[in-house]
Amino acid sequence: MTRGLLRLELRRSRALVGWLTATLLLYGVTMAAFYPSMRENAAMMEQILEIWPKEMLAAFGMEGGFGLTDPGGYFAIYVGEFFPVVGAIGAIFLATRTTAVDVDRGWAAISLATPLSRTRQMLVAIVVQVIAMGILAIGTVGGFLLVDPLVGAGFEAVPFALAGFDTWVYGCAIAAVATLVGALTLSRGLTGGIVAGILIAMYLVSVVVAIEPSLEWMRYLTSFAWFDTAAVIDENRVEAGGPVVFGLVAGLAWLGSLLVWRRRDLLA
Amino acid sequence: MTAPIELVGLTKSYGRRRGIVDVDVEVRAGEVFGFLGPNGAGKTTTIRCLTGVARPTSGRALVFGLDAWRDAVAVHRRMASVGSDPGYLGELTAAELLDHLARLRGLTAGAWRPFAERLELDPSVQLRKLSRGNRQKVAVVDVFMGEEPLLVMDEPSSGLDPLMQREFLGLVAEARSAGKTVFLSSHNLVEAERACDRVGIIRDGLLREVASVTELLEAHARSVNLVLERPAPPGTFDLPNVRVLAATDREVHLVVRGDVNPLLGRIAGLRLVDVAITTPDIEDVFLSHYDARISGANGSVDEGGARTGGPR
Repeated sequence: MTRGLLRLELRRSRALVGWLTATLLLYGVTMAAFYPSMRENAAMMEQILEIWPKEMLAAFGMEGGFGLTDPGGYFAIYVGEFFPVVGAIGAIFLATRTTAVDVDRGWAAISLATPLSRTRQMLVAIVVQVIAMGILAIGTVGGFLLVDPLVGAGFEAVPFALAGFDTWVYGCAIAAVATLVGALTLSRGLTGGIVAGILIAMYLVSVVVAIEPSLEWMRYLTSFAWFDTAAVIDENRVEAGGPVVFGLVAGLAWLGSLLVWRRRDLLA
Repeated sequence: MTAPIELVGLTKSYGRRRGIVDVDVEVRAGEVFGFLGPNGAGKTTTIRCLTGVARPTSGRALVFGLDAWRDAVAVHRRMASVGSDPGYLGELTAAELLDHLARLRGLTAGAWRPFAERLELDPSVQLRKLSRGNRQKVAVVDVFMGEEPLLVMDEPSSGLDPLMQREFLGLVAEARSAGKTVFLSSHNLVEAERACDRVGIIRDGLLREVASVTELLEAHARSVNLVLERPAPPGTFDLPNVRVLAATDREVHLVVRGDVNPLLGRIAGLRLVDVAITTPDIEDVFLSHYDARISGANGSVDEGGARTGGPR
């Protein structure tokens, strides 16, 4: 029963996940291809960055202590900050397909008019999100690793795989929150607005914190403090903090989604 | 024996909006029960509570003694249900969809084929390309393809052409013969009259009446039209259960409730050119619950459902 439902849900996700992964992959390939030129002109880049106002650097996430010429810093700035946008689009579409669109069109009721439990229905939706976020994470780091042999950028597979793992857990956290909000609101529009609003608010907080160090404590309220792929790639150290925080958020939000889903009317 | 469906004080409200209020009904094993009402009366809300999609505000919806909300999975092992105009996934073909639903219900793939053939449904077409009537055929096939002893359907034949409606009624009759219980909501009164053993009439969220179709028809007025050779003597139709709706010198239109023999006794003394006694159809019964006075170009309808002041 569950296998058939999972197969169907994966089939329904193919186009969305395929296009988003292609976007991430293509973007990664393009940015990675530019990296050697960036590295060769490191001194010039540093000079350019020095003349930029501190606030502008902060607004573009260049205040993390890593330069554009480090592979991790480059990845974090150009791709790591692109992923939350693409990941959130995927997360919102996938999460609200079950919790809003299928309820609205009546498909949820059709599935539940069989011996399929709501718990199992939601669990399948969560598994699909986990798989989809994994594919998106592979697309996010994959572009860099694909291009490396061609341009000799020196991107190492293991650090990038670890960054991919961080990206995956981060994507799961976004998807889980979107699922919970979707289960509460049963509305794709409202869920999209809330989740995107939370991400934008967190980004603004991280910018403000970069400008005003006395507010450093606030940085840890944002996802960007925990999504630190630069450290993973450049220092080759495993940061457990980020995955643990994102894992906890994901676990709690999905658990909440299950509880809400089991107890609420499924009426659009 | 536990009733297939038992609604006990079932109430569902949507915030300030009324849903259904205190609905009590028991559907007996092996019967076809029609749930009649206009749009917004509460039919779909009742079915949503029955299928576990909506949680009752108070009261209970029991299916074979199981709570439809709490024990939804166990309930759906015994009940096949389908809503009105179901929101199927347009990208699937009818065959893919029905196979998927069959698997969810523990049936073998292709269990739907005999029913699809009977309803002349092409299973290879994507659902988004099907007309409303053909999508409704998918719904009918879906509900009948299993072995569940209870079938619950919300407006199941809407969109079907007359031939397919007849086929649908045949399927209902076969299900009843096989000992299954059928609960169907409808505002297709002819269908209800032909298919149902008993009907419940719901209006404004309240269940107004539950009776067998025969009882309902007998309890309501018969329409009598007389064409006389010469005017009837005054007081001819003064009987407690007779009401004259319209009369000219030679034509009389009246309604009679209950025993018709006293009226026939009076008519026997008259010289008639023509006489027509119309048994009320369920539409008359239905209308009597919905609108005591429907005004319009065709006249009005009294409480008995008889329309006056114009052609019927």
